[in-house]
Amino acid sequence: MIWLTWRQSRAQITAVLAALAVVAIYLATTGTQLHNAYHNALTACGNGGCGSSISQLTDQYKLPYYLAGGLLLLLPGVIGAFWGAPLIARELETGTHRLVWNQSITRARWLTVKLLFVGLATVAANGLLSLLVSWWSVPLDQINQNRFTPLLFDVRGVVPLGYAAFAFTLGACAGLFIRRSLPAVAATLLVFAAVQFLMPLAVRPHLEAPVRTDIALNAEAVNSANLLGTTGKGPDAPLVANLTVPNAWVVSGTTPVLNSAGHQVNNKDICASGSQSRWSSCVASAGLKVPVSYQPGDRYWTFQWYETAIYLALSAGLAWLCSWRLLRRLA
Amino acid sequence: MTAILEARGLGKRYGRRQALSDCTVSVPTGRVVGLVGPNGAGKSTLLQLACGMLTPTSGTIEVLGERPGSSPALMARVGFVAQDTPTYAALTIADHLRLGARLNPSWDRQFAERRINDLGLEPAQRAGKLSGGQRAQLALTLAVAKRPNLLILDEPVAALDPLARRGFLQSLMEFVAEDGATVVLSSHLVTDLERVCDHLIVLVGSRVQAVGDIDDLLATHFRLTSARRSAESLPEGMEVIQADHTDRQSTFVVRSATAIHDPSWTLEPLNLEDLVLTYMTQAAAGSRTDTRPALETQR
Amino acid sequence: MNEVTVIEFHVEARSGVSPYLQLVHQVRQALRLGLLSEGDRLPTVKDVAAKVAINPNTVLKAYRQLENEGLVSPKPGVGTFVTGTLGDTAVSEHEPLRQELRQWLARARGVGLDEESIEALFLTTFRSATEEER
Repeated sequence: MIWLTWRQSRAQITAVLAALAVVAIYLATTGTQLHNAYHNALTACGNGGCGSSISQLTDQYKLPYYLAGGLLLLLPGVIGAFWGAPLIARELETGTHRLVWNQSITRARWLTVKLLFVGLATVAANGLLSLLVSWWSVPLDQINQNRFTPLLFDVRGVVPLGYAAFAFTLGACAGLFIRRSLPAVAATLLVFAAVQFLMPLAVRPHLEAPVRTDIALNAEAVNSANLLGTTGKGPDAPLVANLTVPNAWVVSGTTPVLNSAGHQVNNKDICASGSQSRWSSCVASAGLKVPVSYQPGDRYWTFQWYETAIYLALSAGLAWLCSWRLLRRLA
Repeated sequence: MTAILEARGLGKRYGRRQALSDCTVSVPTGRVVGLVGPNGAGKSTLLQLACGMLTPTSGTIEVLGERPGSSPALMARVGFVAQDTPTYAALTIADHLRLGARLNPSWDRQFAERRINDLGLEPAQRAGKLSGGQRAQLALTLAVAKRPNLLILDEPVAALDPLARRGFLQSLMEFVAEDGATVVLSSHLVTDLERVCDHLIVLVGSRVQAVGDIDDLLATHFRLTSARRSAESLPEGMEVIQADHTDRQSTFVVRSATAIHDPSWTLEPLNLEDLVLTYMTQAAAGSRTDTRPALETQR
Repeated sequence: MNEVTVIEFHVEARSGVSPYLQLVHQVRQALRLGLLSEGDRLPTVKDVAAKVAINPNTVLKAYRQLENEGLVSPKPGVGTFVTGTLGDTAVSEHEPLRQELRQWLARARGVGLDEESIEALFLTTFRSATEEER
């Protein structure tokens, strides 16, 4: 059965592995360059020439940075759908299930070998890529200090393995229930995308209770803010801010800026006019604060493992659903 | 003679559609059994229940004394060739034989290779490039090379040209002569069934209408033509299966242990196709109120 | 193993004669024409079944019938061999019977029966007599 599963899937597995090999070479070469450049820039930092050479790195390596992240964002869903959905659906479509289920093998064993063999290949491929991308991104992650934020969290560490397992078992299930490869692939991609969209919005923020604190709106905070401005027009418009915390994940989004007494401030109260840079330094020295909820950076790996565990549990559930339906012998 | 397949009150329902009802049939060992009936009668359903592809919604079915598909050991003894003889289009013939060898402990490699050789098939040829007849032969090889005790074939020759059909039946008969396996074969073509089968099951409207050895069926069914008369006026021991009357003439299909000749009527033997058609038209007309099979041969 | 194929069988699907009887007739015909002689080995059951695409039991039945008629005899493990003949001896006994039949036919025509009536009369009598014998 292992031989048969390999024979049936060898074309697609070798194709993807070949493509990944090319990507690996690309990432290995650019990655070593990046790591070296970063190392050099850090040593240069000691002599006070930090800022420009560092920001140069982020610009220089922008393309592979986005490519690598993009690829790892798409790969679990795409392979999961294209390898998982036809796993059973193809056999049902072509009628070969009537050939293979009449060999001297139980359906349970047939399904187990197929799911495990191709599933492990999916997880391994994604795992390898994740390893590579995580290693590659270390310098830029240290510069940007944003690896805990939603999109980047998805493309580092162990979570891609969980995503891969989930997408694959989702595909296999869809294939079994829909019985046609192409519609099953489409359904898998849709559901997977929806889950991936909802996870960081609805589930991940609550894996542990976020830390609540007030952050002083000083120069550093103003410089690193995602957003600082007014909602609406006019001098009475309230001031709001979306701050960042180094290496942490701010879950509170955009919140009102408060003064030391805890009241919301309007723009006119502080610095109504002037150039941009003067307004920024004006705000920074106004003694304001912003209340935020965030997940601190030291929870990063805990969250990675929690989320992976959730996705693996979902995969196990889907695999169970598959076998329950298949063993009922409906046709 | 023991029965290799026993179905009692077997039924299969899909939602509101009853594909098979109250099917009670015993397939004796060592026979070549023909399963005949119109489309939608439940032939495919019965065969798939027999090899374990489906589970019954009512009644029971036992093959070699066990529930079909219940263990790899049982599945090794039952071969199945599905309708349209599916094969893996991307795999070569040699790959298919490898498949058989890996998934069946009772696989006879030499037997399989000899068959492929005798058929003139090229092992490196992809199954998708084979003709319909060649694919059917490949599917048959896959089913028989594990040397099953029971071979089930679901309309294997329906889509084949006459030459391919003859080739397939030749291969099948060679296997039966060598192994003495029991074969259950469904088909529309009664002439084919007459050549290769010795036992017949007529399935119409998801019920068994007639069952028995072909020789017995042919020896006990006759067409009786006479002047206009009623069915009751015929002698005892002659069961009227079908009656057709015109003003002057009556034509009956009768079942009788022996041929009873009389100057007032002409008695002719019935060929198998007409016999099957009679039972099928009677079932369609719904004139049989008795739900048990019309004819059984006790053995 | 099979040096020479002495007889080729064929079965006609719609002839109204059961397959095993067709095989029996073909062997008898071959004997009558002198194509088969004593000591010839008939094809194996497997070969006939595979060539003609008929049930092996049909072939077995035909061979058994021929054995009952004293025309062939099986040697286990070796094959089925021709032992009898349907030769001239039969022909010589046909002649007086043929003469009697011609006389009967003349009488039937003289009484006024047409061809189909004669045929029907003959067939029904023949069939019922055969049934009685069984």
